[in-house]
Amino acid sequence: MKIRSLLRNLISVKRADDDLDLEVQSHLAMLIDDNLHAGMPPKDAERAARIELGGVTQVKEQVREARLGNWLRSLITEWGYCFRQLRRSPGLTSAAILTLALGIGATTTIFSLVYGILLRPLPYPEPDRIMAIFELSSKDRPTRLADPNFDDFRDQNQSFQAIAKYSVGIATVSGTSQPVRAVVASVSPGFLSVFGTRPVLGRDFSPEDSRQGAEPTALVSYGYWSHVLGSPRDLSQSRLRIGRDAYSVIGVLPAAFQFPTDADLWIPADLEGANPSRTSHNYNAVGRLRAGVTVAQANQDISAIARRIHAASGGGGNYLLKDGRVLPLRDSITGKARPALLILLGAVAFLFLVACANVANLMLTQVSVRGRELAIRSALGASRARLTRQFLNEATLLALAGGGLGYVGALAGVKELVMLAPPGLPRLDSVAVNVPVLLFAFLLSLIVAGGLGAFIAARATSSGVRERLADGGRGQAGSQGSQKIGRIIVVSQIAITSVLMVGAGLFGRSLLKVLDVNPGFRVDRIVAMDVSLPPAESPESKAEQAIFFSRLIDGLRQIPGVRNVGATSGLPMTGGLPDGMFLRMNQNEAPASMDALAPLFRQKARAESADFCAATDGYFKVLGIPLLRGRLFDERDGANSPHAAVISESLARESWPHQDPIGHTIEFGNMDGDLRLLTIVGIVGDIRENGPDLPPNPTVYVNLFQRPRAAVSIAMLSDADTRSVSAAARSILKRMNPEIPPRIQTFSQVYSALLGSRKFNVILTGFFGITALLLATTGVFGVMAYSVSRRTQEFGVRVALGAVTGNLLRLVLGLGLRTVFIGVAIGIAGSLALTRVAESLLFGVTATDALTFCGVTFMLVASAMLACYIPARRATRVDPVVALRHE
Amino acid sequence: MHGLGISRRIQQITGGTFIVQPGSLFPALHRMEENGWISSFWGESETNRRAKYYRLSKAGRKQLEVETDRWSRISLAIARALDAT
Repeated sequence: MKIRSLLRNLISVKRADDDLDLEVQSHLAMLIDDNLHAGMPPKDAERAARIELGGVTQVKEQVREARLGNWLRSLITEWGYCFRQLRRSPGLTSAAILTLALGIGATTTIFSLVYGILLRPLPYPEPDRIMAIFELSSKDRPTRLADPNFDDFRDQNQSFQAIAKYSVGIATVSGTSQPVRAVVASVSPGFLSVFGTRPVLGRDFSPEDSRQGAEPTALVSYGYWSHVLGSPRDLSQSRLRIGRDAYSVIGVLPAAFQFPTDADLWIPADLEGANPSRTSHNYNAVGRLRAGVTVAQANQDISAIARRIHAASGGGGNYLLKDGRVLPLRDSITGKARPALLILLGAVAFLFLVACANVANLMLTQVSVRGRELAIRSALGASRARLTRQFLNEATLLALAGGGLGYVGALAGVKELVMLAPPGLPRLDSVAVNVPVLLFAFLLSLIVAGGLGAFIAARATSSGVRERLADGGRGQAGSQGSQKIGRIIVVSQIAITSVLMVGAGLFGRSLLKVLDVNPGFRVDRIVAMDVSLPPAESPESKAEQAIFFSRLIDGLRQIPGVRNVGATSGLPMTGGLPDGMFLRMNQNEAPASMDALAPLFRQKARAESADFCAATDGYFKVLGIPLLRGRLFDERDGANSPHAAVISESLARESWPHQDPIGHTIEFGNMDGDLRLLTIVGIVGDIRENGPDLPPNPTVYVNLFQRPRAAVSIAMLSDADTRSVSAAARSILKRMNPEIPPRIQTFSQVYSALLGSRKFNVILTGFFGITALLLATTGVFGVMAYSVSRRTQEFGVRVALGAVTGNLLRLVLGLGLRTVFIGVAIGIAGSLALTRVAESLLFGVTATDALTFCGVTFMLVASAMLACYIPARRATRVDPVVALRHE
Repeated sequence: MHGLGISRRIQQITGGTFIVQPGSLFPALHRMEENGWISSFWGESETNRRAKYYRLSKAGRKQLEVETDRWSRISLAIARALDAT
């Protein structure tokens, strides 16, 4: 019954009101009748009846107040009133809504980035129990694990209910319609248990599948199964060839499972047996914590095992682990991106504050204009709570409208951001405008509504009602206070904007400095082609590899427009070369076996470390790496000649300080299994292979034809158009071996991808900085214009008393500039303190770079002066006669 | 009975102790109607005027019993308390 009444009260309001009116009128009529009946004269009868009734309107109002759902009715009425109020000043309302939309939209966009990457849990059951396990090197850096160390961790730990190792590589996979380059992960048994995942079709690896010499089996990703294999329900016929072996597909993993990122196939890790070396860091490791075990406990556990290994080896040199570390998997994936993302979030928060400040100022001007209306309403009996509620309602309507618009903007913004994002950004696929992001936008709107509403309400209801009425509506006293608050808001806007602009400026200058650095090699006009042959074990098959590449290079040289062709085991900026320890040897000291190396490594005088690269002589010419002394590889370095090596300049300087390394011999066979000594024949220039902002690594280059390998990157220097060169290269390779799909890109693409994250930071902070500058300038303009309009009378008096244009200009401009200078001063001080946070992201500039600070100050003062100029001119045009009469 | 009639009747029965003003009567009547304890209909008064009449409903009768019961318990308790002192 109650609900029915409630609905009736809300919906058929008019009918209920009419009914009530009739009832009260009839009651009055009956009272009059009674009085007449009792003998009163008509006029007295009516008067007495009305007194007894107590007033028709009052009675009706009392009934209405007692009605069910009355609070809802008054809320709806209030909101309707607010809506009409806002509609009355469409310019102001739309300006406020658009500004709020900008602030909330930008913040929501960045938040969705932060949430998707840093906060969102990984898509596995109980994802916070999955850990990444590392070795700590002698330099305390987390590194991958060596096989025997992993085995010890696996067998001796007490913290993990499942633990597995994995490594990732690219291989040519054939056996389907066409051979493809696929991402192949080698995993130990138990890998899927760590993630709590089971295949959706088929089965997981069994312990037998993972033993050395077992029949090769493979798991495929859902995407690979549907796109490449054609979604067969019966897997018994599915066989793939990876390298030289045939793998039977035994299971398909769920579509949501993507670990390691982009993996297409998973194969057992140790089919060829494990690597017994404790210093070959080949694998990453993950584990799932046992119930009740904390991360700290697991850390101690693994650390103890690692230190035991270290102690047992008795020293072991630089490459043996010193300690172990356990990290939550999500943090290990996203850790490097965290500082930049948080800085971006901070920057957009500043933009948000500037936008809100503008809206606050807009609404403040409204308060002064409506001062009289508020005074009258107050006098008519509106409580302070009621008036406050009105401002809160207005602020809420504006905030929700702005928030809604901002959310829609964020939908587009996130899409743009994901496209713009640097390729190295982890977990980009989990960035989306989803429910948590929506909640964030909504909460943000509510916070804005509450803050803005409370602030405006406090201002509006603070000064006495009587003051306002007495002012006759001019409200000079009130407006002075408003002007001051307006200026305070502008000062904070300018301060915040300057911090933002300094940040953007520092990032921008860092990017320019990075672009300036000479990487040591050529970047343009180079086409890179990655080719993966099947792996070779015997010396004969290795020789075949060498011949294949030699013929391929000769064939590629024939392409019209190609000037030179070279090959390497690792191009710069594509992930880094493997590094290891090499030994200085005498010419006749060739070690007989791998085991003979171990004691040699312990002799500190012999052991040095460097990056290892296999390359052809053409490689140096194509990349423009200068030969500084000696010679490059040539025909003298045949299959039966001494193996030649070329070293980088920094290696020569560090390891042979006052000698000529040419002619010396070294042993570096621990990297590729070939124990023949290397004779140094030449020295080449350093290259910054990990990017212009990192120092060059000392490198040893061996002759690719003497020490061939299966996966090679071919670099072609050409003047011709890249597309024709790529097409020609592809067809030449296809003619030589159709089973090998190459990957072709231009080298400059690779290079600019490397700078991707710097560019990303610059674009975003630049956008925030410029937008904040525009908003702040508008804010300054608004406040100055308002101030001038309020002081017209004063200016009129001044002119009448003899002031000239110059005086007035100076007066207004002076006030404006004073405001701006205070803001800039606070902002610069704030920047000096805050930019320290971003120091790790800068390059070539300090956090207190003078040029940036001066530039920002100049830009802010210039725009502010521009903004003050127009109101100042308006002040000088005041006609004193009009002004003195101005009310 | 219509509103005025109810108010007069209460005044009469309680010997003038309870004078229900229209400002209290009408809100009370409307609230009871919302709760479903009384129902209303338009009719003609003694003086041939249209007036709104109220009638006790079944739910209202039950509520009356509940309230009566409560009132008896309260007045009994007060009487006993006064007796004891």
